[in-house]
Amino acid sequence: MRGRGSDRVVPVGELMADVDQWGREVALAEHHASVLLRTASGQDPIRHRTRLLGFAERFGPPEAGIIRIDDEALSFLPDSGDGHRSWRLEEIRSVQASSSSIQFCPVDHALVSLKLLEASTRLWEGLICGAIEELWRSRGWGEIAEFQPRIRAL
Amino acid sequence: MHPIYGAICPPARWFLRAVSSLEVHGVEHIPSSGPFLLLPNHQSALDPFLVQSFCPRPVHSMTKSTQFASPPHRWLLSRVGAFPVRRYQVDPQAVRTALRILDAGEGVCIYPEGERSWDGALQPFRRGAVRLALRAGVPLIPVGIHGMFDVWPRWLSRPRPGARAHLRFGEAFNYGEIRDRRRREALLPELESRLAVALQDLAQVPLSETARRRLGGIQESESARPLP
Repeated sequence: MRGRGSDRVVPVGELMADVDQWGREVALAEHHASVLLRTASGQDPIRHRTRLLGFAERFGPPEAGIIRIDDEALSFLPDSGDGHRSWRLEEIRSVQASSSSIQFCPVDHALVSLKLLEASTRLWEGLICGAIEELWRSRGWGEIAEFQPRIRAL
Repeated sequence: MHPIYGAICPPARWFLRAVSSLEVHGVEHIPSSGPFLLLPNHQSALDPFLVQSFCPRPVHSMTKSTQFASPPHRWLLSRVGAFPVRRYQVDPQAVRTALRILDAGEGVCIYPEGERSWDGALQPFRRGAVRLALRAGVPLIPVGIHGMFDVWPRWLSRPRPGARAHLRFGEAFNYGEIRDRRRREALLPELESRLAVALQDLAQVPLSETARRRLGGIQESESARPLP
């Protein structure tokens, strides 16, 4: 097994090899992280003088908890114990790393921002994107060319 | 442009020279009048300060919308020429704003990679950015940034001074105004290739593995340094 806290990007293929070697629960247990989750509750217009420049998200209050990924979904378990949430990978429409956060946009939902408190942003970007790539491949939806502004296959 | 923009440039130049041994080349490629679109590679959070403070004309930078989340940031960014783009969805308002600024004869800066590089190498370009460049019909100026990755890589919380850095404005390429959308779409791969080669030369950085796969037949520039 890889050491915890490693900054190495772990492809989902390797994760699956760990599943074979160590068993699913042990392998996936490595792929969780402490986060602050915020969800955009709307968008504010940005203006300079009277001109509209564009729009920016208005985020709700942060919730501390644990994020976990497996080959089907991203799950969030809040520290408070209430309000467990899960997003199926096939519902995710875009993924981006932004400073120390991972942001994704589920279909019909507002932008979700996960500020990683200890884990590597790059690792988690790799994990989430890798899992989505494998899902798209397995469903015959093609090779993903980009994850922003929306997931698009070649 | 707002007076705050002019007030920030001299201290930004001083700071950038303090944290790196910086050389700036090619400012003569910036047109003295009329619209232009800067297309730099993106290595560090310092890049917008670098490009805007050394460009001889004011520039409006397309900036990720989450930077505008807090009121102080929002206040400041809108006064230094930044305008937001929602990167996680197609954002027609960001395109409209960019085209409106160009129509007014001013300069716009878009980072075609869409985000800072994780390892200093050139990332694949966002199709939307290249599409906008073609639609704009203005001089497209590739801008090479070298060394800022060593000063402040994405994964460090603060800059580490001392690296050699350079900023090179390249010669403009101009496709003119192409009204036919199908023709613009047909030109996308050509512009992507041309931009990739220009940025490798100007910034002296290699293509990332992902970019090499995406750009297919593009040869890596001979002058691009290998990754350490």
